[in-house]
Amino acid sequence: MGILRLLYVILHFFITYIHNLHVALSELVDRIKPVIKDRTYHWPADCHVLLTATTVKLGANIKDESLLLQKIGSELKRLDKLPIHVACLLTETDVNIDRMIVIIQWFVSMGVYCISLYDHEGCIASCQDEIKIKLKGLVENLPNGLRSKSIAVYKGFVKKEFFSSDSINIFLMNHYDGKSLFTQVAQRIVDELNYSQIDQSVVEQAINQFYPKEPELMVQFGSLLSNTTLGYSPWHLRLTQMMRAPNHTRLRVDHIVSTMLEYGSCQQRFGK
Amino acid sequence: MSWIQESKLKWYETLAVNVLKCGSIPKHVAFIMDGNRRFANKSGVKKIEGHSKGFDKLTEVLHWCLLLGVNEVTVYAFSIENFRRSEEEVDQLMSLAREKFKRLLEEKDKLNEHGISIRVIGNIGLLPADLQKLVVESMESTKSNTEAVLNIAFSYTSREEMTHAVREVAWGVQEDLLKIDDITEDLIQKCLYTRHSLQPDLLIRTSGEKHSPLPKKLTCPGGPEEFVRRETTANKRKHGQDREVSQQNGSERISYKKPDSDTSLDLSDPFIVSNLC
Repeated sequence: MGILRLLYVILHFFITYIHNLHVALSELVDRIKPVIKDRTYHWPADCHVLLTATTVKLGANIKDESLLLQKIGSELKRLDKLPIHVACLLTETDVNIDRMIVIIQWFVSMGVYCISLYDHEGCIASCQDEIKIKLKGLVENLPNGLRSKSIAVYKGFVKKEFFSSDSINIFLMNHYDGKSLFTQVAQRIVDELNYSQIDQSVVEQAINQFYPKEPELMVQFGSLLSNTTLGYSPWHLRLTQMMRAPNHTRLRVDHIVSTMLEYGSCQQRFGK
Repeated sequence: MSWIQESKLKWYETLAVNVLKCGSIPKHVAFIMDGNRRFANKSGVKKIEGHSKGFDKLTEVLHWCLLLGVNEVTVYAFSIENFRRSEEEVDQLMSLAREKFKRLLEEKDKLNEHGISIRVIGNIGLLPADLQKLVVESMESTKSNTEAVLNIAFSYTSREEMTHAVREVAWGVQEDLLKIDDITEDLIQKCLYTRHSLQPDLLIRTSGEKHSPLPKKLTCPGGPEEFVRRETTANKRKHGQDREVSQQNGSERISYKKPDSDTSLDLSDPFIVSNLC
């Protein structure tokens, strides 16, 4: 029996080693993945759109990228598949603020004006000031129509009164925010209502007094082979589409473009 | 088909199980059973036949979990959102559920022998009265078992679970058992249907959907749990190995601590009683 057990342990070690190699190889392949050339995406609602993406070279100049992103954004909007709120989940422990700013710029160029940046421990939330300063520089790089928009950076959830839907809104969140919001809302509901009056619509109405609302899309950076929501407010993840993306420090425009196009071509059945 | 599968494994399956047991095994695995209707379409059978085959595969999977030493399994069987399907389909699903729960009651001795306790989570009040009785009977007859737990999420959505928790807390405040200031995250956690459960370490969604939304489930607050999408229900054994290995490695990569589960406050009895009436 001892020999058999030894055999199993050796096999286990071997399989784990191969798996680790597989992970490392996937990350390497992802790093050197070729840029988008022509792609046909099948869109919902019986319409086929052939979207020829401009070849985006690594380090391409900003004008090309932003035109590409604007085009994609307007196509998605036409098909009603442009998310209003995108949640960026960072699974990496080291956060590169400059890179995050660039990613925000890409989303804004596409027409997404509400973005939440989430990481479990709150590293992003602690860099609020740095992000505010760097975002001011972002405005100059935006396409013409967006330069007049103001940028607001919030920590955690924010009440309706303090939120302006005309500006570009960035929310910095960590795992405390979702639960503490729900507890706060629960306290208010219990204070004001009888237990027999409490139903799902009451709770929904109370939570919707806070922004950001449910994200339509959640992009998980840095988790190539599996997903985790890392404690993002569970209430808000009802119909959220979750997609993976490479590590945010190595993310390129074509990764974001392919993520958005895949989001645009997915079909949700809502339980039916 | 029986809830407890006692078929012998093939030699390579036994090998896989023994090799996996050398590493860490997740304590709680959750399954979202998706793709039954697509399977039925592919095979050219009726949808209800697809659901039935899905159940058969589930019993196999539960057998594998028992062998691997997974203590707790949660299965998402029916969501409140699924009530929106056609009346015919919902009725067929309810009939299937009746048949399976009746079978479960017939096999309760076997379940007790294996020490498996059944918990049904969700708003059982939305189900037909006879099914409610079957559900409660199944829970009552296996509640003293402690070896393994099977949570069946039936008529469940996470929002409904969280709303129910708020209602329970409100009842407590109205009965002068609690003050408003006592309402904390921990208290709400203790009022959830899933309060007795650990957080799932691994969530598996069958059917091969590539990028799917987390379907209206999983309130278990916070905690890194990995979820992996895998192919059809058919080839689960082979993929199970990859899943397990990646999860074992994943737990090294993610170093966040999970909160401890605390079961000191037991509000379960009022819940069961209120759903019997």
